[in-house]
Amino acid sequence: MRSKDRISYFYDGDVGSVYFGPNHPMKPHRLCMTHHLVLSYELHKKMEIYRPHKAYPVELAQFHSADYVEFLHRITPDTQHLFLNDMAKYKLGVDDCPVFENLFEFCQIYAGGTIDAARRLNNKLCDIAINWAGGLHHAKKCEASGFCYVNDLVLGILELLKYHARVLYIDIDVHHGDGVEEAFYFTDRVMTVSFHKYGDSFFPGTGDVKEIGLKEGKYYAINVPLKDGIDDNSFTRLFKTLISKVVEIYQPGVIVLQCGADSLAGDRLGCFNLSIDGHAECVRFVKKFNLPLLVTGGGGYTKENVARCWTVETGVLLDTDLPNKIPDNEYIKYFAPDYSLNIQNGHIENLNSKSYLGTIKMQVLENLRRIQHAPGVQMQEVPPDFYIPDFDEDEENPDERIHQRTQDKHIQREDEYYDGDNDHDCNMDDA
Amino acid sequence: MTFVFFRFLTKLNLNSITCWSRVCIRKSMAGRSILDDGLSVAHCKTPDKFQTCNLSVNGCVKQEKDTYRSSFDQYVSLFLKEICLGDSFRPLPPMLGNGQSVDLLKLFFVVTQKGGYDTVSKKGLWDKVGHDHGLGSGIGSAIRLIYNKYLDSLERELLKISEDKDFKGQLWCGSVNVDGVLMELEREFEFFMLKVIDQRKKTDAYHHLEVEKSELSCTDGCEAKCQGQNLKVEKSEAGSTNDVSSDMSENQKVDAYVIDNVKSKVNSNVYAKCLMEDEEEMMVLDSIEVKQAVFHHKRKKDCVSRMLRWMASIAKDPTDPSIGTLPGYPWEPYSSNVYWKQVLLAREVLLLKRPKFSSSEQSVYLCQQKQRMHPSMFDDQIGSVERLRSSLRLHSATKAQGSSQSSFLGTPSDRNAGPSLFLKRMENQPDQQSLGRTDSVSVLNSPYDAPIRKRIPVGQYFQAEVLEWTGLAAESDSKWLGTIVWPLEKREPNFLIERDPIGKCKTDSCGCHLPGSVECVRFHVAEKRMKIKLELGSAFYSWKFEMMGEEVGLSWTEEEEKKFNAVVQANPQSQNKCFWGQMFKFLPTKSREDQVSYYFNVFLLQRRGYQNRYTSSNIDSDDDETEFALATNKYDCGKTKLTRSILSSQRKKARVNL
Repeated sequence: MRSKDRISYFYDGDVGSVYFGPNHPMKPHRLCMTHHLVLSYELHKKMEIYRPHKAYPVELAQFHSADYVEFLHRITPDTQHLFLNDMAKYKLGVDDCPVFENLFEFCQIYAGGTIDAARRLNNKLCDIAINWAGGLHHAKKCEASGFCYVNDLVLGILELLKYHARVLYIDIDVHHGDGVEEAFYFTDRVMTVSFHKYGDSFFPGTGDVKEIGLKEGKYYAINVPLKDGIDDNSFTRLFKTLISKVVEIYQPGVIVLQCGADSLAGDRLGCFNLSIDGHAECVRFVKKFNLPLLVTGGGGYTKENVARCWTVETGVLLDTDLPNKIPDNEYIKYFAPDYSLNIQNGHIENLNSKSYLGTIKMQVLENLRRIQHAPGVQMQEVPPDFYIPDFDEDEENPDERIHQRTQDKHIQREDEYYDGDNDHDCNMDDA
Repeated sequence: MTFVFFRFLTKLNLNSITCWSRVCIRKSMAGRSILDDGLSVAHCKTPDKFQTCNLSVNGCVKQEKDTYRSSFDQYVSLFLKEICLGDSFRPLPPMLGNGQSVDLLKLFFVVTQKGGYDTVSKKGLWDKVGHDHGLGSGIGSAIRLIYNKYLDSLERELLKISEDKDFKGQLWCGSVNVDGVLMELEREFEFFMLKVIDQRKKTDAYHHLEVEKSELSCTDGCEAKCQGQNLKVEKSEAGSTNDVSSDMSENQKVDAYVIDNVKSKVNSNVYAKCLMEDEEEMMVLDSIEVKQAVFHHKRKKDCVSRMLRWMASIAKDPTDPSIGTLPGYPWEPYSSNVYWKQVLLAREVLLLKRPKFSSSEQSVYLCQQKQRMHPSMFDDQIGSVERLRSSLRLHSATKAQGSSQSSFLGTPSDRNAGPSLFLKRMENQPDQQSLGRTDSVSVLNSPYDAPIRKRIPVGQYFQAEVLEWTGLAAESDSKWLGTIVWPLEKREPNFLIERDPIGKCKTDSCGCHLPGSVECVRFHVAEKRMKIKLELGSAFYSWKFEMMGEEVGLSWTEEEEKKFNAVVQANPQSQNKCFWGQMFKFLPTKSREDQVSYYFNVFLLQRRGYQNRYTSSNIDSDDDETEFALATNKYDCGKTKLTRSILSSQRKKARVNL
C-alpha cells in the first residue's frame, strides 16, 4: 500500500563522517543511524530517496553575506589561527561552532538537501520532502551560531517564495528558531512560528512572546515561549490550537516544519518531556493540512532518540505505523536495552502551569486577530496558491498578447514593405 | 584586585580570554585601574604605586600565595595557549637548570617594576632580577630565557592593549571593542549625571570642581584620571587609605561622596514612598554608594528622580518606543550641551549593541540545566561580561562598607563555582553586614545588569532579502533537484525479489543455537546486512553502507584496534581528557575520518554491546570484549555506573532482551 502522497527523502552518505570535535554534542552520525533505521523498517520502499547536490557558494549567498560564505569556504582547522579576527567576527571557533575538517562540504550537503527539497516541491514533483540533515535554524546572515553555520531553512524558504506567496515556518526544536525569525522579521510573506524553551538565559535568549516582527512583518513572527518540562498533552494541545488558527488565518501555500528532536525527553541539551509520540503528533497534525510540506531535522543530541524520532516521523509522513520492536540492523546495539521505539519518560518537573499556557495562548491569538482585522491588503492582493496556475496564465497572456501585437505590427510593416516590394517586384515583373 | 583579576581570567574559557582581558583592561583604562596594582607596564610609573603594589603582593601573598601563584600560572598557560596558539608546550612551573622552580607571578612583578623586558635587557638587569627574585645571582640569562618564553608575550599584549587607545567608533571590529565603548560611555554617562546634578544645584563649588576633574580625567586619559582619583581619595576618605586594592570602590565612593553631599545640602522634600523606585533608578549609576546615600538620606529632588526614572527605563530597554524622549522641562537649557549628545550617543550604542553584546557571551552549552557532559567542562564560560562587571562592583561595594579585604579575595574552591559564585560567597560570610548582603543581591539584579530581553537585531546585516510577491511564479529552476538513488532506475542483476513483509522484525524464535548470544546477534545483523546489500544494489554504496556498522573494523588490524582502545581507556571522558589528540599520534596511518568512523561504528557499538550484555547475569566471555576486562572490575553486577560512557545512557538497568 503506497501512501497517496509522493515523498522525496534526501540523504547523503558523506554526512556520517563529519565530526564536530571531541565532546561536541552535535553528532552528524545520528543521520546515519536515522537513515539506517528508516531502511531497516523498509520505509525506503514507499518513497523516493535522493542524494542532494552540494549547494554552490553562490546559492548559499542567496541569504548569507558573500564574505561569510567565502570565509566558510576558505577556513580549515589548520589555517584558523591565521584568521582570528575573522573568526571572532563570524563567531566561529568558539565551542559551539568549531572549525572542522569538512565543514564547508557538510554545509553544502545539508543546505543542498533543503534547497533541492524546496525545488522539488516548487516543481510539484512531490508533496512532501524530507531532509533530516537540514534544519539548522540558528545560523545568521553573517555569522554562525549554536552549531549552525549555514541556515538551510532560510535558503529553502527563499526558494519556496519563488513559487508561493506565503510560506509558513513551524519550529518545534527546544531552542528558539532565531535565525529564521530574524531573516524574515520584516516580511509578511513568511510567518514564523516557534515553540521553544524561553527563560533562564536558555540559548539563544530570544523568543519572547512579545517579539512579533516589525514593519510589514509585524504580527508575522509568532513565539511560543515555554518553560521546562512541558509534556505531550499540553504541548500538542497548544500546538494544535495555535497552528490550526495560524493556517486558517494565514493560508500558507506551503509549510516548512523544523522537527528538532531536542524537545524530546532525555535530550542531552533539551529540557522538555515530550515523548516520540507527542513529537510525531505535531508532524501528523501538520501533514493533515494537505499542503506541500518541507520537513527538516534540527537539534537532537541523544543519538538513539533522534534516530527513533525521525524514523517514526518518516513513518508518519508515509502514513505507516511502525512496529514498536526495532528490526535488526547494524546499529541495533544502540537501541538497547529494550530495542523498541519508545523512549523513557522525562522526569523534569512541568513548570508550565495551565494559567501560564493560557496567557501565552491568548496573547498569540490576540496577535493573530490583528492580522485578521487589519485591512488584508496582502490577503486580497495575493490569491491562494491553488489559483496560481490560472493567475500565471492571465499574467503571462497579456504579455504574450502584447508581444504578439508588436510582432503583428512589425510583421504588418514588413508585410507593407514586403507588399511594396512585392508591388515593386510585381512592377518589376510587370515591367 | 590584581589577584581577583587573575582569578577571573583563570575562570575564563580559553577562547574568551583575549576578549575578557581587553574588557577588563578597557574598564580599568576608563576608570581606575586594576592594572595600576601591578599589571600594567604603561601605567605603573609612579613609584608610590609600586609601593602599594608590592605591599599588596607581599601582604596578600603571605596568606594565599600559592593560590595566586597557581592562578597566575594557569592564566599564563591559558594565555600562551590562546594568544600564542600553543605552538609549543610549556611546562609549569618553569624550572631553572639547577632544578629551582620559578615563581612566574613574582618574576612578572619584578620585571615590570624594573620597566619591562626591553628596559631590563637594555640595562642588563637580568642578574639583578634573578637576585631580587631570590634565586641567587648569576642566573640572569636563564631568567631572561624563562621570561622570554613565558611572560614576554603577555607583557607585549598588555602594552599593546594599553597603547591602543583609539578604539572609539570601531563598532564593527567585533564585540571586544563594542564592550569597551559601552563601558566608556557608561562611565561618561555617569559623570554626566553628576555634572547635571551639580549644575542644577550650583551650591557647592568644591563638588563642581571635583566633577570637572573627573570629567577631565574621563576624556583625557587614565593618567590624569588616576591622579585626580588619588587626590579625591585622599580628600574624601580619611579612614580607608589602606583600602589599596579596591580602586573601584574608591571611585564609587567619590561619586557617592559628591552626590551624597549634594543631596544632603539640597533642601528638598522627602519622597519616602518613592524610595524603592528611586533606589532602583539610582543603581543605573553603577554606584552602590549612591544607592546607599539615597537609602540613608531619603531625600531627592523631583527633577532628578524624573530624569533617573527615564534613565532606568531606557537602560532597561533602550529600544522601547513607549518611553519617549528625555523629559523636556528641566533639561532644555542643556540641549546644546555636549553631554546631551553623549546621552543620545550612549542610548544609540546601547540600542545597537546590547543584544549583540549578550549574544556573544551565550552558548548553547551554557544553558544546560541538566548537563550530562562532564560538569566542569563548560564552567569556565559561565561568567559573562555583565557578571564580571557586577561582581567587580559587588567587590567594591562590600569593601567600601568596611568588610575585611582579605575575606573577599576568594579561595581556590571558588574557582569552579557557577554563575552565582558571588552570591554564594556572600552567604558564606556570616559576619557580613546585612546591609551589604542585600546590596549585593540587588546589585546583581539591578536593571542595568539584569539580562535584558534579547531582541532580534534588525538591519541589512541580519534580514534576508525577500522580494515582493508579484503574483507570478519565478522562473522554473528545474536544475539541481537531487540525484535519485532510490528506487533504482534500472533493475540490477542481483536484485532481491522476495522480501520480508514490511516491518517484520526479529522473531523470537530464531534458529540459532543460543538465542541472544553474541553469535546470534552477529548472525542476524550480518544476515540483515546481506539482505539489504542485495536489495539496495548500487544504493548500498552511494549511502556509504559499506562504511557503517562494525564492518568498519574489518579494515583495522588487531594491533590498531588495541591501540585505539588503549588510548581511549587512558583518557577517560570523566576526567575531561581528550583522547583524540593522542590518537593521531599513536595511529598516524589512519586518517581522522577513519578514526571517527571507527569510533562511532565499532568502538562505541562494541562498548554499548558490552554494556548491554554485561549487566545481565550471564557474562559472555567473548573475545571481542576482552578489551574491557579492566573496566569490568569497576562495575557492580546489575548496576551500571557508566561514568565513562559518552553515550549518556539514562537507563538505570540494562537488560538484554535478545
